[in-house]
Amino acid sequence: MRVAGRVGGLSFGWVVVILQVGTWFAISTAEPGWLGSWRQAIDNAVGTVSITGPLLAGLVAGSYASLRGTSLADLVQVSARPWRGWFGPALRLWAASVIGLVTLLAALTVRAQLLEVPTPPRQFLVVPLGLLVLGVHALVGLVLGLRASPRVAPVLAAGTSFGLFLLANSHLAPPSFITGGVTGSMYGEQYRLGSVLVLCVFAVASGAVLAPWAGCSKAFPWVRWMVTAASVAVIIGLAQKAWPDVESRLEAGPISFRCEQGTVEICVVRERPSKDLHELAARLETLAAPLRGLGLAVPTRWKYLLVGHRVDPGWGVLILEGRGARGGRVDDADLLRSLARPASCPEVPAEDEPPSVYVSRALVAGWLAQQNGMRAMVTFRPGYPAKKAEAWIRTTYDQLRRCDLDAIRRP
Amino acid sequence: MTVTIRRLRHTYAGATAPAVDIAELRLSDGVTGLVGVNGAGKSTLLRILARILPQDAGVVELDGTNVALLPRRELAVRIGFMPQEFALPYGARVLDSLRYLAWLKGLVDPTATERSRELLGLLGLAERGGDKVAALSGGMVRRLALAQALLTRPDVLLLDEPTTGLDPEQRVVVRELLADDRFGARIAVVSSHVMEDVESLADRVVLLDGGEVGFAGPLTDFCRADDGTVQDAETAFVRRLVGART
Repeated sequence: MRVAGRVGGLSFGWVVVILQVGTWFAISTAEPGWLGSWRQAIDNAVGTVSITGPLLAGLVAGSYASLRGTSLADLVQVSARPWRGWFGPALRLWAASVIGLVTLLAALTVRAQLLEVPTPPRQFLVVPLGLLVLGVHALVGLVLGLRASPRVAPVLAAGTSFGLFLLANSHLAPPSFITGGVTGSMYGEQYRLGSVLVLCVFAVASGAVLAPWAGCSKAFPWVRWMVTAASVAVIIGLAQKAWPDVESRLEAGPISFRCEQGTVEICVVRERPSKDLHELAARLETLAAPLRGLGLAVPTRWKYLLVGHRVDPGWGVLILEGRGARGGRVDDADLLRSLARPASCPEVPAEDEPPSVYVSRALVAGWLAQQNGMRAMVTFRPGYPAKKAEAWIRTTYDQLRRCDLDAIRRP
Repeated sequence: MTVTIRRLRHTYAGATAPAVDIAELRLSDGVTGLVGVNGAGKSTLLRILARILPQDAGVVELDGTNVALLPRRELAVRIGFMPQEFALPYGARVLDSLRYLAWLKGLVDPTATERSRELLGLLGLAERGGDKVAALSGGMVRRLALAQALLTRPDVLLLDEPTTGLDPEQRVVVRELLADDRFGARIAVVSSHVMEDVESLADRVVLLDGGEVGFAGPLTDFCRADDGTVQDAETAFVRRLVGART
């Protein structure tokens, strides 16, 4: 349909071409470090629905608001193709946004494959949810476009759509509107099938609330109210029964590690194979020298700790964050934090650790940084005697290693 | 060909009286002028005949078949409707709009494009096909509205106030277009409160008053007074309206 459903002055075909070219160019030229976690890349790509959704809603609203005051609704209603005729503009804009998302996912996956980053297919579970939620955003645009003036409709629809995302974050709207955007690497995690299905049902029910108000016919108003009421009931019922499930939409998934034995043994997840483990081991060994100088036993085996996975007793916990987790190069700050965690202590979950433990670990890392001639974020207070500090480090490190966390005291 | 209306009634939500309440009315080949004051039910009746507005009760038959039972595609082809208020998205181009409306009626390219071009030519809009709808004058928009009603060469043509809002010159142009045999549907119903239009176009008249049929018959009968004198349509309209209310 060329009468409505254009994006600005551009036809549907040109929008798709621009999306394709732009996406492939951006992904193929981007610094590959962030692709290290393909899982996170896919999750974040689908998470962009919280931005593209409101844009889509605004465009759809603008398109349908321009039909207000025209005769098209009447003419479509009595036409030979009422469904395609009426929903055509919204479908085309939705299709353009779907093509944009699928292009982004394809480009990410192809690039990840070229870089030999593992790409477990389970991650694609979240994609149908993203496409459904895009459809709901299109419906928001359609419904508001039909009811608001052409000047206001696009902004109103985009604002409402983004508001749904914000409300979902506050548990006041179906959680489906949060389509992704985890902050972790998602190494060792995967989507829980049941939770994603429930999220999809939430999305379909949200669409069903709006759909009866998106048509051009004014007939059977009681049917529209009934469908909307039934859909709201489904959402409320589902929210009461299944909300806890969707709160934890991730679960521990299968993961393989890559270990290399250098001066120390290091195991990292096999998500980004380009990490130089020999170089990493050598730096870890160098940074640990002040601890050894105090006569402390520093672990000789280090393993990356993943959500839902354990690090065996006797292993130090390798903490990699951000670029250190995804990219080839690990920052010294990550290694210092790791050295301050000589045991994983699985019997004490992180949230149950005494506050003094967190502070003490930061202080150990800060002391190590200073000993290695680096800037430290957390240090002993000025004038604190060096001998006393060394004694505290000696005692505390030993306690951290033995997981005697309750015994740890601040200096 | 005949359109038969039986016990047709439609009441708008919140209204106390029906907008249309017709016991029986038969429309046959030729042009019927549908006349009445504002709010008499002319547009409501045409919208019901065009299947835009569902009636509360009654039946509309096309050659003896209930139109509610006819396939949507067949209806879209056989009935052409020119709404009173015709407007298209201001950014759309004239030929694109007409092709889209042809597609809605079930035509596909190249037929849709050929028919659209043909009608634009016949209606004097051939040069404006690439222009935006917003650039057209009121008279041109009415011609475009007529063009979309004629896309499928319908058997029944329903024209709701085709000359409303036009200046006298444009009204004459549209009136001449409507009188053009090349557009001829079997049955044409032209609603208007401009009696001059009715007089020049219609061979039969249906007078609606308060949603009910006040007169239905040949134009000559409509214009003939009780004493046998022939009046102009406007005088006859006022006379019959007053007569119907006293």
